[in-house]
Amino acid sequence: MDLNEIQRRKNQFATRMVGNEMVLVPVTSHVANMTELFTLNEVGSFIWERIDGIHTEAELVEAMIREFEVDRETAQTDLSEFLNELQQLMEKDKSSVR
Amino acid sequence: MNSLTLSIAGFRIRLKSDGPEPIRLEPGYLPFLVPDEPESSDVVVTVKKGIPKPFPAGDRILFEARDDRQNYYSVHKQRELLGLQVYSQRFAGRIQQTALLDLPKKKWLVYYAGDLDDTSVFPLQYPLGPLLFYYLTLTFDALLIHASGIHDGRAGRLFTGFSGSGKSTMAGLWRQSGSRIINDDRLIIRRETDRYVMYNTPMHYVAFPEHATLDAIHLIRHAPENSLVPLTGARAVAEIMANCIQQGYEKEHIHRRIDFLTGITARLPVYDTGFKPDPEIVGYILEKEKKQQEKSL
Repeated sequence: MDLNEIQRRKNQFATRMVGNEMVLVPVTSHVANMTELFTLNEVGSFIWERIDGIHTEAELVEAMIREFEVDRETAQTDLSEFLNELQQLMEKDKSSVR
Repeated sequence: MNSLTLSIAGFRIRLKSDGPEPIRLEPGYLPFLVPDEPESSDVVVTVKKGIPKPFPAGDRILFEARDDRQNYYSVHKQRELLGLQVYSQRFAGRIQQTALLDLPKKKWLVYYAGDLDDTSVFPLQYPLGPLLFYYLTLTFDALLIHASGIHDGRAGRLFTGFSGSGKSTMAGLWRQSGSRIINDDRLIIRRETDRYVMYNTPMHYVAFPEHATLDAIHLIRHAPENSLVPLTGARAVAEIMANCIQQGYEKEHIHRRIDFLTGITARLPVYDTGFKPDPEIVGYILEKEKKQQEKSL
C-alpha cells in the first residue's frame, strides 16, 4: 500500500487529537468489533497529518528529522514501521468500513 | 392514558399517543414514570399505530444491525431526519416499529405496528427503547456505556470492560461490602456543572432510578492477581470508548464522543484494573486509589 492509497483510506477513520496523541476510530455502517480502537503517539500523529497526497516518503523523513531531532536512520525506521502498522490496520478494517 | 412522561438520566421524555390507544410500557420503565408536565419535556415522542411504509433500501441506509440469520434494526437518512427501522425477532422480515427523529428539534415520531387485536401502542418495545437512549445521549451530550456503577457512600466508581470481563461480578463484590449498585450492565453518564453523574436506565427487569457522582473509572478484566495501573490521554479515551454503546456511521458523532471522553479523562482518574473475583478486590482498589491520589497531589 503506497502513500496515496493510505491517504485515500484515511477518510475511513474519524480522528481526534487528545493532547499530543491521536485517537483513530473506524467509521462503520454496521455493528463493529470495537475491541481495538487505535491511538497514535506524537510521532504517529505527526506522520498521519502529513500523509496528504502531497508529501513523499523522503519528505516525511526530512520533516521527522527536523521535528524530532533524530538521525536519518531512526526517522526512516520509524516511518517504515508506522506505515506497515497503518497498512495492517487499514487492511483489517477494509471489509468493515464504509 | 394518552400521554406519559419518563425521566431517564434526568431527561424528561414525553410519550404522546396520536390515537385513542393507551401507551403500553415494559415493566422496567414503570419506575421511571414521573408526573406528566408537557412544559418541562426535553424530548417529545409522538406515537402512532401502524407502519406507514418501509424506508427504501439502498444507499440511504446509514447503519445496519444484522447477522446471518436476521435483521435487528437499520438507520436511514430521511431528508433532515433520521429514520430507525426495527424488525420483529419473532416474525422474520416484519417491521416492529419505525421512528423518525428530528434531533435538533427534539421531536421524535414512533410508528408501532402492533397486532390487529392490539388495543394499545407499545412504542418502546425492545430494542427501540435502548436505541432511543442512545440518540438521547447524542442529543444532549451524554454517554451510554456498557458498565456497572457503584457508590460506596464516599465515591462513585464505574467498571467497564468487554463481555465477560466481570462487570456484574465486580458490582456484586462491592455490594457485599455495603456499596449501592447503580446498575450492573448499562449506564448513562452526564456532565452536570462541576461533576459527572452516572445514571441507570430502564432494563428488562424492574429497578428503581438510581444515580451517583462518578469519581473514578476502572477498565476491568479477570486476572490471576489484582493489579491497578493508571491510564491517561488517548489510550484512556480509546479504551473507554470501545465499551460505549455507539453507532459509528457519522464522524461528527464520533468526534463528540471523543470530546466528551477527553473531558472525563481530564477530570477523573482512569485505571486498568485486573482482578481476582473475590472480596479482596474492594480493599485493594480503595488502597491503590488512595495511593494514586496522594501521588498526584
